[in-house]
Amino acid sequence: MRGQTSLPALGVALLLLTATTTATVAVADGAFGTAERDALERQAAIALSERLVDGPTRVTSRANVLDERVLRNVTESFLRENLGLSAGSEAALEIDGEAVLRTGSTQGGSSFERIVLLERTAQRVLRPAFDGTRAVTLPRRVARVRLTLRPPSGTSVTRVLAGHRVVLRRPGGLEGNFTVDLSAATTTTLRFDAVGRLPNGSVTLRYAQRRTRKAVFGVTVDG
Amino acid sequence: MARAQLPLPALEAGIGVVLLLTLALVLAGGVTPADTERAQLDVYASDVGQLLRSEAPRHAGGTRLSEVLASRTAFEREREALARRVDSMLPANLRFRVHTAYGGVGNPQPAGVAVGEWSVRTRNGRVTLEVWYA
Repeated sequence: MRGQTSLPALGVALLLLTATTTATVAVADGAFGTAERDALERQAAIALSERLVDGPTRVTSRANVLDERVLRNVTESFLRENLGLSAGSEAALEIDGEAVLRTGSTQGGSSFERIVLLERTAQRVLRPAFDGTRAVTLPRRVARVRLTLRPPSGTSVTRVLAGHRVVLRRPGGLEGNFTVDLSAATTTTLRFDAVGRLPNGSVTLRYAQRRTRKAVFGVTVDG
Repeated sequence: MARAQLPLPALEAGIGVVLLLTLALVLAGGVTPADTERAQLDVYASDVGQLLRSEAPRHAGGTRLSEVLASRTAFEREREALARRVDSMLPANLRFRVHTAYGGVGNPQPAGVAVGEWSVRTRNGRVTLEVWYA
């Protein structure tokens, strides 16, 4: 009777093996499923951050420069309709760790941090007094200025120069509203060539001054 | 005759169970852990590179980057400022090194850490920015 397997032992062994196999397959399935979902989630987070940071969207001013005011007022429907956030996913946006937008609840999920500049524009009005000189220097990164020229009678403004470039010119005298495009990379000095007095208020400059600050922009996508 | 013999099927089943459990353990440990750290570092590097590239120059030249790379003298003059600028843009837990044709600037790079990289070709050779966690 040696070397013979007993039936009950065989049965128990088979049962044990089947149970373990089932458990292993379940674990494997779970692991692969999680890995796939993580990868998709990560991809979605990268893609969403890329679209926000690189544009073109109304949040993006330039590459890696975001309009802070627009960014703080971003809505869920903007993310879903314009940036392709899928219906089953939730997203959260943060500036320096402070939540800007949260659609539903993001628990865990994949997060990415981007280094960006946040830009704010403020409208400035300048009425130079022209003491001694008829030049006015604008801050850096002003790309466009609106000029209003109202010289007193007897005075005619013949030319306006940005640096050494003549931007406006009329021998008979300039008067009214003008828009001048400037180089955003350099600091521009505007000079006014005029015959006669130029009292305070005869020249008004309006421009948008842009200020940037650096920030860490966090994008989280869950699901 | 009645020596304590382990039934053969039990032995075989035991080995099978051990093998399967090992497999399960390996899988439970994670299937190819996604390289999130590396991807994040790459993103940091490319963001800072992008910002450097579009930044206005301090003195003259098209952009900040082309100004720094204009010549060896320009690089020597600007290297401290460049290092400070990159350092201020990166979050505090990151270290960096910029490699240019004229030499490197930044922190010395440790061996065996995950490094994110961004590089761009310029008229004056390739510029590479590397970042890693401190």
